[in-house]
Amino acid sequence: MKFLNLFNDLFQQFPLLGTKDFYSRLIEGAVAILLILVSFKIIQVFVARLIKGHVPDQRLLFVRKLIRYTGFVVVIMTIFNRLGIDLSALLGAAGIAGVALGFASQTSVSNVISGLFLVSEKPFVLGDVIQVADTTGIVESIDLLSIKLRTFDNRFVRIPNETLIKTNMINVTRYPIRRLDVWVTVGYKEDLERVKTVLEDLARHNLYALDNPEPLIVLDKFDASGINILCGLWFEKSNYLALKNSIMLEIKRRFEAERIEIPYQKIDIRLADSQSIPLKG
Amino acid sequence: MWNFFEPENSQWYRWRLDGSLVYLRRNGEEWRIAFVPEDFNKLHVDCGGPDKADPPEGTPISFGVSRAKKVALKPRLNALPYLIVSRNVVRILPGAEASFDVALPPMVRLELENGDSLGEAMPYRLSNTWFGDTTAGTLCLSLPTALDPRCHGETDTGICEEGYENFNSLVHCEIVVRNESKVPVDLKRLAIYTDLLGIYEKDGRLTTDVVHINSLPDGGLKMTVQGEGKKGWHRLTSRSESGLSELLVRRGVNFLRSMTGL
Repeated sequence: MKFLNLFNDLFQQFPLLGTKDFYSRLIEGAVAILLILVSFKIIQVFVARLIKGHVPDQRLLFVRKLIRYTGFVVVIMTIFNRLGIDLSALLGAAGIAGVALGFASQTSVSNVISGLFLVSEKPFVLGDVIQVADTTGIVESIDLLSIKLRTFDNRFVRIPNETLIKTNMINVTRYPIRRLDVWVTVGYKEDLERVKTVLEDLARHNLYALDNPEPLIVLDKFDASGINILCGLWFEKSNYLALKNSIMLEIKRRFEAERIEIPYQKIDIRLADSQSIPLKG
Repeated sequence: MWNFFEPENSQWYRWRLDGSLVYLRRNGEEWRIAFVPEDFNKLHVDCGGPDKADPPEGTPISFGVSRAKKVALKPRLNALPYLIVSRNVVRILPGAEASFDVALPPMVRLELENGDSLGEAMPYRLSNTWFGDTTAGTLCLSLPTALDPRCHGETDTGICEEGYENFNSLVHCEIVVRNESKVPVDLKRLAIYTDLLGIYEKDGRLTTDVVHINSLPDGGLKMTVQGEGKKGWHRLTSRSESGLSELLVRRGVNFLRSMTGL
């Protein structure tokens, strides 16, 4: 019933169209809206300046958005008020609509609540590189419903907050240094002491590998085609690609120079009526 | 070598920094510069310049535009701390004092008369190292030299083989560690924070203020820099003034406390 009154209130305004009173109310309403928007903008800037430096960037962003949307709600309520619409009717209708919307927007609400958890838990901040399932990218924004990533091949990825709460997420750049694990396989005939010394020497002379923490070299296991060795090199997080490219190149070159065999799979194809023809690959 | 000079138009000049090279050419308002870095381990005694030279080959060249007439190559200490490892564990007993001479590779910058910089680079290739926990710490420049103690009156440690003391492009820094506590201090590594160090020059040789590190009776460490300057030495760069001193002391204390296990 109240909902019908809402429309009645609205339709009652139509006869006023073009009258002096209508234009007067229109101007008053426009000025009020302008003042509200300016006031909330000032509050937004003031609060942002006040808390900047004391809270993480994503929380600052969240507070700014909260103030802005509150301003929009006040503007909408003012418009209704200027139009002479009884808001109690709207709120009554909103109660019924709220139940319906609640069922319809379970996912969105879940995302909003997950977003609040993410903001308070701070598993990452703007600019961090994170990995969620198969997606890796830089965090561009943290919003109420989702976070936005920019992948390294410049694609835009939106991940719902609920997904982040439910799944494992890796923050690649949380700590200032990382370890790059390079797996090397050498033939069974190689002198493992010598191989270890060569790898230590390569690590020591690589510009991007940190001297401390010391490189980790582990003779891992006897595999089908050779002996697996783990060479773990610490690096400053921004040097990931530089280290990976340089160390792979250096290992290949040095192993060739030292005549250390890197075994790889070979296939022999035997023809029924001829001798075997070895193929590389 | 470190003084201002007015280059001739369209002529390349070159500085030799014990293996690495810096090139400069001016043509009116246009300046061209190039840095040819060298591995720190491959340095050899050869320091001088600016000399007239042929253009650099195969080196990226940077451009600058300025109306200035004169330019100088100026050394500056790196913003990252320098981390140096002692050759053997050095144990300083209560009441004793040991000195260390360290050669620090400086950044170099081509500076115009008004103080503006045409370009700045580290002419030596050095790897980085990390001090502290893997979740928090400080990135440092790793000096591939060893720390040998020198005590009162001793001029030759008998250990140092690298000969870094002969390189005039490096900045020589004297560090005095005194143990005023009642327990021995084992010194394994030393980080040199450069905030408060000024650089001085005399006869082409570079040096810094003297760094004093005292191990105090209460178990703390105090790091101070002798700041009165050096008699007869020409000051090339000034140390940072007030405010940073406390920072240096605090950082030095934490750092040294960790590494000496106090």
